[in-house]
Amino acid sequence: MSIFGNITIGQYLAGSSVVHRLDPRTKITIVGLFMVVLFTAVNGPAYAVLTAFTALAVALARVPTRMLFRGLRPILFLLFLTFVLQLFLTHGRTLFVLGPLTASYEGLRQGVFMVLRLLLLLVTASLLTLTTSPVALTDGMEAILAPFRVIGLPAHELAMMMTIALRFIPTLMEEADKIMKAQMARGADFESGSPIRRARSLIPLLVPLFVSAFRRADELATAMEARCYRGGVKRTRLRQLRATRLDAAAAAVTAVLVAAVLALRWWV
Amino acid sequence: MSIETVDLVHVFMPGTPAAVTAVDGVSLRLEDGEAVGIMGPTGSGKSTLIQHFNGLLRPTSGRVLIDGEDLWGGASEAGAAGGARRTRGLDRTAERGRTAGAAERGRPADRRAGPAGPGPRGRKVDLRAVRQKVGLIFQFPEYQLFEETVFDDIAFGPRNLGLDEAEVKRRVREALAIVGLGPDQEGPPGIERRSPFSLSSGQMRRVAIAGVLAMKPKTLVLDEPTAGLDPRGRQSLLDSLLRLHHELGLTLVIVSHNMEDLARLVDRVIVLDRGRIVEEGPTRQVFSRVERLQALGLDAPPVVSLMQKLARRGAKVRTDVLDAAEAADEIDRWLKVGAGGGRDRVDLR
Repeated sequence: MSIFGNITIGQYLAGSSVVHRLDPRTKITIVGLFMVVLFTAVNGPAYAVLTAFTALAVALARVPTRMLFRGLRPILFLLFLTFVLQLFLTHGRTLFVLGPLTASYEGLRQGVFMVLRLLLLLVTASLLTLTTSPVALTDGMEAILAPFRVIGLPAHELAMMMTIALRFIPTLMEEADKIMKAQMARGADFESGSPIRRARSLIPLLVPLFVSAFRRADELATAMEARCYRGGVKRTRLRQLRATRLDAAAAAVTAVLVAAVLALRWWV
Repeated sequence: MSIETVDLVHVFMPGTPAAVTAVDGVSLRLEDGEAVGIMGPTGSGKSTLIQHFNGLLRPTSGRVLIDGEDLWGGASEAGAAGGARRTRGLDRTAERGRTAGAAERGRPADRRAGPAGPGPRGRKVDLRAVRQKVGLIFQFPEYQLFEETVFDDIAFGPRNLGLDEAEVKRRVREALAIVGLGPDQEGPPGIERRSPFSLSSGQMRRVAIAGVLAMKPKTLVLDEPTAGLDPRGRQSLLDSLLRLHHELGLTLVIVSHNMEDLARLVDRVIVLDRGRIVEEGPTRQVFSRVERLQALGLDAPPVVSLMQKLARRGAKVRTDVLDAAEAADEIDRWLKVGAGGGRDRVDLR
């Protein structure tokens, strides 16, 4: 719970903003479409449109930006690396020379775009989970996947697995924290030494964690069986998904976005 | 060795709306060779408190002194300068709490004040040495077992201390014997070479406790040591703990809801409620305050309740008994006296 507290994947921030109130199916679809068009963007204006869209969504969701950027911290290094690789490995007009490495203007451009692309990707994805409760999220997933049942896709089971996985993230983190402390009380050191040593020092944490995860899984399965759980077939829901005018509006805005980005790709 | 806390405060997630004050100004002193019980309803801060005893948690404010030595720098002579420095340190913590939020919360303390950062006075307390001296056994310690064999698991602590294999071996054998799993005791044959996961849960717990004992702590802190054990497992664990206390002179700190366990093990009880000490004193005295305990959602031991019922119906009996044998003696004494005088007739129906 505490040591791993900076992992914001799947974290949900309850609220009642416009974005919170959107149907999860709408939100998932929008994020999906956004990601697709994000990869078709090749020029500045397209990125500007995409960034504006993301900024609008963030503003409407009224999620503290601090919260949003905290989730980005772990990948800062990745962003930096991406930028540097693009900068030096793209051929083109020379920008400056650093030892054996030559930075190019094209590389700078590529690097900025690539970093922007990753940032937008992560911000929208975190915005989805921050504004959608795990239950709503999996309900939405299930509804979207439902048509694929005809080709044998176990939509309900997949959604159930996702719900359970999300539900157990905090539990497992708490457990990991407890085990870590117990091993530290026995003189374990998780934080110093060479990378190999540090990796080895994780064994006393990971083995008990896996053992307890399996035990929990077993207990959960028994508890579900005991309550006669049967997946999928004719289950009714407490919360019915209902699309509203808000969803229509969001869909319209998204349609404009997609059209704009595609247009900018072909005509600019 | 003594453990002392001074105005200990621990706030989880400081500086966020979700801030929780788990320990709220606890000052206590555990003397060398004492056996102390810590009780309190769920969420009263017991577990948070004991994690300060070996430096697993760093206090938000206040101090923890092991043998008079401040675990977190800032020597015990807290002058004006020391106070100011501490305040600044606090601000910094709060600052980090704001930016990193939950990330910093309860982060293992030695990251912040560990080998890299000597205390404000340039002196650093070796947390590993403290953890060797103060053995902390969490609730359900069997869930921390991880090695392939019982021997290796118990040897984990001693090996972390950097002892040579001969000494490690000696300590493992010794620890196994203390928890009653030695070769000529009730343990399964060849237990050292068996996987800890093949043992019964009671045996697993004893192996886990042996893993801490093998570090030869001077103080043993246990969180609900008998929870979930069957009566026999519980008995033999209590016996082991009593042996450790009386024969080896270990200081015991027992966190428990089980009044009978506490009555058997400890001389002094500290009762926590919402992070504060609300009751403290000799076991006998604290346990006889039934109403107070019940108001906190705790319960008095059955024998105390029995004596109180008798007393309420007019029997002149002492109510500060600890176990069934004492209660029987007291009732016996009263019956003999009562039979002679015949004045305090009691309706026992």
